[in-house]
Amino acid sequence: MADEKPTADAPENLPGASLDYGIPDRDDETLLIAGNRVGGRPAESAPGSEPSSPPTARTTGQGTPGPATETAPAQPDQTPDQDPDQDPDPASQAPPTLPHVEAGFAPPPAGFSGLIAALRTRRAAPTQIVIAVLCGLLGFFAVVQLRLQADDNNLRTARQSDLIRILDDLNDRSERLDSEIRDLELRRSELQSGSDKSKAALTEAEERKATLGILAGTVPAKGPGILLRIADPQQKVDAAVLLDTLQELRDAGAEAVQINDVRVVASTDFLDDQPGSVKIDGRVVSAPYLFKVIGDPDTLDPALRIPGGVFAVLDERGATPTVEARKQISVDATRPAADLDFARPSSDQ
Amino acid sequence: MIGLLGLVIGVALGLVFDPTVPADMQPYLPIAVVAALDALFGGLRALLDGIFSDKVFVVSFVSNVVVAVLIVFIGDRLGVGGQLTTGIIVVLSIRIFSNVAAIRRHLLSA
Repeated sequence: MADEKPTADAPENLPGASLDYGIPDRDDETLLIAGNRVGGRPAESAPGSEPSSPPTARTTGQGTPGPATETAPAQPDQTPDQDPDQDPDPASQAPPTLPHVEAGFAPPPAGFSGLIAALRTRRAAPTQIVIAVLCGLLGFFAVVQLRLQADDNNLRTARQSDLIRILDDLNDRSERLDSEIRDLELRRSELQSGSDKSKAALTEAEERKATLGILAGTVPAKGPGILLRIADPQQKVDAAVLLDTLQELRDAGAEAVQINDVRVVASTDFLDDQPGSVKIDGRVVSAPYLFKVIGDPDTLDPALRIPGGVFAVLDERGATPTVEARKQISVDATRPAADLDFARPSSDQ
Repeated sequence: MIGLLGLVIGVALGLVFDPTVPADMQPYLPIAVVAALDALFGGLRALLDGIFSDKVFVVSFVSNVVVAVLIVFIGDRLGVGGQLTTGIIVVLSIRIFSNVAAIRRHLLSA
């Protein structure tokens, strides 16, 4: 490229211009002395200034690359600057050089070798130091920024508006979660009270079941009561007498009754059997008859002794009843629960 | 190149000291870094073009950083800091891309 432009002018200068031109190494002295200060200015006014001030030309040559470093390759200004650089050349060269935009500058060596060469030819100079410091700052802050980004979820570097938005989001979310907590707590208390209720209902049902079991004779029972023994030496006590006796006991508030080893319930039936025995619920029960009755002894006992009552009838028939009040009567005979084929509870009570 | 050495030293210092950046400065740091990168690539390209100048590099480096940070700062004051940051990043990225393309042409001839 270099050969194109100044062919006739100064062949000896060309090699120097080729590589070193753009590189400050060679120009250190000039740069420091005059170029540094003046360098930038002539660059713009290059075409005009060339003829007037050849000495500054060198520095202008330096200055011109400046714009080039930041922007697209060559600007028209550069070429005119180039010419004055080659000192011997008169300003008259300027017009022809204009078209050769890149020609004046160092022909860039191609490839990586060029880069390496460019890097290697450097020598420490004040500006170089400054560049090194700047590069160092760049590296330093780049690393710092990278660390920042890596460190903390970008919150520290976030802008105020972003932070406000993030905060709003978090507030919304915590509100949502709070309301959710309230709902769940409400539900929990509901369930707890519900389980309390159902527990109470269960207890009640258990008690009910026990009561009904006693009444139905499916479970053993115990409590205060009386023992009624009816000896029947003359074998004149029949089913009717026993039934009367039972009814009298029931009237007196008997809650659970057992005759010998047969549990007596509401559906119990009495049938005459052989003299001296009766069939209770289909089972033969022979004298002496032993009633285990749970109830209030103070009520049961007098009930039996009512004039013209149970005892009177028994006496008539030659039987000898004896009553014994006990604090603890155990009615331990049971009968199987009836399986109901048709009847079902009509409500859940 | 001594600049490269400086870069390495700077990275090493950043890694070693792990400094905390003041909160006021934090939004501008990435912008400054990108602007400096732009200057760096510009300088590399100029170097390959054979038109590298220390002075221009220094001036462009500093002015790039200062102008970029200043624009973002003003944008922050005006309430459009985020948008301006994006704009500057776009511009600088385009420049970096074109510079890198020129460097690539030099190095790979393609």
